Amino acid sequence: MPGKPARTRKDAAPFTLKGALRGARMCAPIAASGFAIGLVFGVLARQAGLGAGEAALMSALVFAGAAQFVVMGLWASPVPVATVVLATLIVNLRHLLMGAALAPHFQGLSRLKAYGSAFFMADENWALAMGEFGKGRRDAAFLIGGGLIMCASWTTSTLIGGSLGNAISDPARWGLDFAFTAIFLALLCGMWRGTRDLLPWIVAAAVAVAAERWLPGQWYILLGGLSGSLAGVARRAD
Amino acid sequence: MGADSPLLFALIGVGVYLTRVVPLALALRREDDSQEIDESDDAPGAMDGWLGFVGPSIIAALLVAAVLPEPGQDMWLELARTGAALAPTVAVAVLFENLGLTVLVGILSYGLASVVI
Repeated sequence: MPGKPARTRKDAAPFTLKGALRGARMCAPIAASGFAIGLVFGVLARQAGLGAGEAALMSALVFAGAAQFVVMGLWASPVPVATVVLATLIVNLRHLLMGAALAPHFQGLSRLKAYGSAFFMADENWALAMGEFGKGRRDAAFLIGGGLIMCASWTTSTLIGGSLGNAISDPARWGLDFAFTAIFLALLCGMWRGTRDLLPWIVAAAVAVAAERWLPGQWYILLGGLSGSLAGVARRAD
Repeated sequence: MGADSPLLFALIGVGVYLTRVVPLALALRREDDSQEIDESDDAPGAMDGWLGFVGPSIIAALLVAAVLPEPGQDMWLELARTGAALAPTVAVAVLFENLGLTVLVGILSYGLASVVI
């Protein structure tokens, strides 16, 4: 194309063992908190009629805490397959945005690495990975490293919880679920670039609160993320 | 629950995985298409600009939902406990920028607030 400047390709994202280990190390506190919740899931699954091995198999194959709790809430005999699958997909609609948001940071990776990493994408390690990428650390293996340790913790704790039966009931009683609040808080503090961030964050929070109150399931995450990001784009365009 | 359970779990797992991988695959494809860019054009595309806001917005949504009391809880009591736990947690997050320490202080603060309040 005469007269046109030379074309360039952006550098491929690195994907190293060191990055995966860093992801695992950073996600270790989350995996520890998730362990307690996995115990509870195992107990609930057992109460719903699943064996400990079945519950652990579900955790390994699905690896989606919120969706799995919803499935256990719907579990009956016979299993309402269509309802269960549909509810699971709705609960995980937020992943549509989260998966797309990874793309700029997975550029140049082989499909195996990119799509393999996607299996291990959960809210917490995704949020941590976005924080890493935002600080200029580009190693894309961070996500799968964090996801692997979380998945191992989740599956193991489900197995133990399913074996323990009714011994564990409420991890919130020990304040363990506040770990997730602390994680999201720490990540947002790390992402703060100045007052220009306020508008999209406030819009996201306000819409999420309204949606959480008036809509079922976890639409609030999707709607909050969409509205906040659109507010950010609109503000930048001004 | 029977021999069909593994099959159902696999089906759910595939569905969940598709919600994770399909948008990533589509966005990667779009990134690949736009890789060949003009050297003079260093402005981020509209899609990249939007995606840059998605992460913090979703985390803000997750945070606010985590902070607010769940239905059935004593709203003011829970808000008081959460508020009391948030203050030291924010301070540690800002001062030390250490995730593990922030989580530890958060759990301890909330546990303490639950005992005291």
